[in-house]
Amino acid sequence: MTAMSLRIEGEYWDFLIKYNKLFLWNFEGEIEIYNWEEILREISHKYGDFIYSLYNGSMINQIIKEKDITGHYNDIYLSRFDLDRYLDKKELTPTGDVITSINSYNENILINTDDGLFISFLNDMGKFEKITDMPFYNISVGTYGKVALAGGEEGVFELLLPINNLNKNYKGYKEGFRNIIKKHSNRTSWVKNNIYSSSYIEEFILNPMNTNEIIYGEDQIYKYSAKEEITKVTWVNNNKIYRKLNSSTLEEVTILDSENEELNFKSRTLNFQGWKGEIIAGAGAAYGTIVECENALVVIFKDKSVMNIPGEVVRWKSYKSKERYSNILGIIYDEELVLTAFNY
Amino acid sequence: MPNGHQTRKYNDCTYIFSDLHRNLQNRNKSEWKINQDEEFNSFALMCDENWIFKDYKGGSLHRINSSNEKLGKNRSLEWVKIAKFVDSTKNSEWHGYPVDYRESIHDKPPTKILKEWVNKGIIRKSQMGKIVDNRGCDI
Repeated sequence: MTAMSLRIEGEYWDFLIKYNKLFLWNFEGEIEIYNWEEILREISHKYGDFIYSLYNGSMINQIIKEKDITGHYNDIYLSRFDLDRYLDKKELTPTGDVITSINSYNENILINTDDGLFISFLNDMGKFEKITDMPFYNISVGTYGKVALAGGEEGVFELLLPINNLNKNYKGYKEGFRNIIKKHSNRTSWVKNNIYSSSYIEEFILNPMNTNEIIYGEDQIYKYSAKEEITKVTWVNNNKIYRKLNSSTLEEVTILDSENEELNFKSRTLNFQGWKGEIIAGAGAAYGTIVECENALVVIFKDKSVMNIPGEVVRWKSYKSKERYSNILGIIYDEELVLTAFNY
Repeated sequence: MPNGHQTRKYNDCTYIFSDLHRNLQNRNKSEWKINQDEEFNSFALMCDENWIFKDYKGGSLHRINSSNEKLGKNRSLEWVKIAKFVDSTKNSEWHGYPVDYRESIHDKPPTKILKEWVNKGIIRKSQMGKIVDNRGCDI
């Protein structure tokens, strides 16, 4: 596995790379929009043409040879001064203050704030519309414009976004918003078009019909019993479900395809080295699974190789497997954003 | 808020000491584990620092010697360090209780307040990230 990191100076809170633009939400309630294409072209010109391909996801499974790299760079630093040259424009967030989180589907961008959920368009973020006054724990975008939102004790909400990009007058967005599961939810994600909702205080839900009924309960899916029931940490990655068993052990459950419509489950445990500290969170990515521990991010690649990234992070994110740029892991530190690209 | 609770004045506000979050008989609510003076100090700190969102709800901490100390337990009997205060009648009559930001989305301190805690060095930005993303975090 080859990885290369682009370090961008600045205090950021969230990011998105889409349509050849780099969107950065800063700590002051602004969105800085940069020409990502130009950034990549100039860096590639300076350090090696492979960088452009690597960051665009077109070097997947290709070997990067030493001769492709000008010098010995695997870490490129962009200062604020360097970055300013690529600035297209700045916009204010809907509240003019730091947001909670964002996610996107096609040209739509969903902005989660303490004042509620807003929708806007990537090419015109000066305009936005409020969907609801409710804040959410997370926004998870599934296929065909389906969005699952974790609303704590209010349950799981679904928002249906238009599949085409023609609806720019926001009509119909609010009608596509509804409460579909009335059980506590801290986090939502998608498993094969099913919503997976996990909670710190209730049993998680894997529900093919996205209704209130628990179709598959914890006892059916997991083989081992968790020792830390209260602090449930669980997430999914395509056909795998992960759950923290104790401070340094995960259970990985693979959902097996079967001829009938029932799901079958196969389980194994993963043990983490002590220096990494307690397992805090995790998420799926195109190239594998990312596990956040107290003292490190651990990337478990699909080929089962592991990369440890030591240090305490502010936030981190990797976009969905079917999207462009899905081979990039973005890690926000106190004073920089690090975008690491893999040729997985 | 029922009548009969003890109250104390702070500036133009009345603070109501609610029995609903002390000496609990069942676990439907979080519980203060600091005394009433300390509870009141936490409220006063919120007022002084203006850690208030939309004029009627705010967040605060139990600060001792520049560190954040435990102030209560959540519904699952785990220690917590953040308190929420509300002026539910919007009549400058406040009450408060310990919160676990993972139990209720409405108990998560607003991002704006967390940012102020970061700017004052009360929590680290990495801790703000964990609270906002409702990952486990000890501040």
